[in-house]
Amino acid sequence: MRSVADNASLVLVVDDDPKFAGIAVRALERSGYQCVTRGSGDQVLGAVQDHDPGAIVLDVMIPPPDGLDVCRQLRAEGWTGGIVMVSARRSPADRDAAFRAGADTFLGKPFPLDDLVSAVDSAVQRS
Amino acid sequence: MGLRRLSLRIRLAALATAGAMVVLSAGSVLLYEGLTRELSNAITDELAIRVVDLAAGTEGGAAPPGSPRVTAQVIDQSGEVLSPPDADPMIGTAELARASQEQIVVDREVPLVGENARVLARPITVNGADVVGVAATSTTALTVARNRLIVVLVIAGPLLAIGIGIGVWALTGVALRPVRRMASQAATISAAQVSRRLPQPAREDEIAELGRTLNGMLERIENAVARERAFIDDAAHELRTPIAVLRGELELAAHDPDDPQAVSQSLASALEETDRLSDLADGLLALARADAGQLRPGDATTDMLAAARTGVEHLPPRGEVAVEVHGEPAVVQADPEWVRHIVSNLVGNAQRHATSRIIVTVAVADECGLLVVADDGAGFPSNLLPHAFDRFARADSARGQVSGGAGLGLAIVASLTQAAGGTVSADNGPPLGGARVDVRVPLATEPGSHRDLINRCAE
Repeated sequence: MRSVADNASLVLVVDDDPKFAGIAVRALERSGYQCVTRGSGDQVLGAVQDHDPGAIVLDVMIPPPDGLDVCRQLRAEGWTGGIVMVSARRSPADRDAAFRAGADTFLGKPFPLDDLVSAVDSAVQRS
Repeated sequence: MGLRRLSLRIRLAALATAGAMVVLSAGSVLLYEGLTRELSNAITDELAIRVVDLAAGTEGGAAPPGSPRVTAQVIDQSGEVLSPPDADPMIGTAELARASQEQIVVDREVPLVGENARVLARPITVNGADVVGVAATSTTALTVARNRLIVVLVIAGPLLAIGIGIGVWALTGVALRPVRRMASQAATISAAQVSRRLPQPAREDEIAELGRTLNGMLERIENAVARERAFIDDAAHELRTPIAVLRGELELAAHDPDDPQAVSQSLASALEETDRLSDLADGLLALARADAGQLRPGDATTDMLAAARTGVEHLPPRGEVAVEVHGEPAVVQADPEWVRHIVSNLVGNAQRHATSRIIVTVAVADECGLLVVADDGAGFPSNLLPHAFDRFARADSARGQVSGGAGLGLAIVASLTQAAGGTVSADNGPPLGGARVDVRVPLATEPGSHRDLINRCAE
């Protein structure tokens, strides 16, 4: 797996709620990003290999492996792209778990879409 | 202030003191009477022995009777003192006349002995002559002993009773120390600290049992609080997801006010999310009412087959999944709204997971209405099956999401079915190979026999 994104303007949005994924995609596309979506954890590694996105917007509670496991796996395999983790569970413990798994940013739902775009901007620049 | 307002320790000490006072008082009276009687009898016995000795000593020519403690005389019938000679008689004529017939004992002043004296006189025979033997001794020692005994009993009795009270107070304090520790610890346990436990004495007595019982109660409370917190946490999580979508749609609409198509799309989506939120709120409310015991079957009856057809007709179609309704009428004792909820939740859930087909079957079985909702999807994952009706039970593939995808639908089905006296079960397999949920509700019948049907449906 390559460690530097070939396609920095491409964002992989992973959420099992298609409506929320659609909103995230529309907000990001409005800001100039291209997006691909996946609905479960087992589709993420393949999508990263296929598209090598600049950043991933990753929901924590998705069909297995969950967002935290996916994040850990990506970091373990040396993927250095930006990971913006989002979750409706937003306690300090959930936030801490996300950062320990390797996320760059954590956003608790609901959040302003501008925050999502800013977080993706930062994540892409870091990668 | 009543006794009830005093501490148990003080009450026990006071009771012990009062009890000891009563017992010691009675004991003191008995002791005083007994000792006095014994001492008095001993003096009388000694006088009687002296009189016997007097007869023997005189008869045997022994030394004149009398001793330092006992003064003795031998007096003839005329009142003359035979021994010791020249002594004044210790008894008068009247007493001499009585003593010539029987033994007499008199307490009075005797000049030869003292102010307080006891005189014993009885007929004896000396050298063949009938005479009267008289012996007298001082009773001052007896009076002194009596007075001392009274002083000792009056002072020692109350002191002993108070001592017993203090001892009981101290022992009760030691015995109740674990209770005070438990009370002190219990006072610091709040709803936020239900994991704490009371100190439990390392012994096997009633106080240790009390500690175990209270700690068991705390454990049950902790489990209940944990379940409630988990429920609130899950409910908050499930509410945030549609709120996030709603907010996102409104933000997008606000950002593109000049794009009618985008605005229309966002508003339509936002409306769907409000429905989702409304369903979720209804679900949470239904579960809360079930928890509060407010779901009651009442007297309403419903045809499950008609309710199933109506419920399916009102569900929005999803993709190419076909829903068939078969069976026979089964009028059950349940609120029509409940049955409609059960059908819509189960069929809605099946629609999310079926590949192409759902069958809803209604039948009468064992005096129950049987509603079966089956699909040709992947079925319940094995790890979810035992928890399919738990609140917020969500499988990896989201099976169980029926009420706005919140994982509340099957829990609501279970609550409504149970409120109607029925049972619900989940499995995988026939008739379509996917998931299958069976709902059994007692048939409508005459009042009074409904309970029997409930029992049969539960078997």
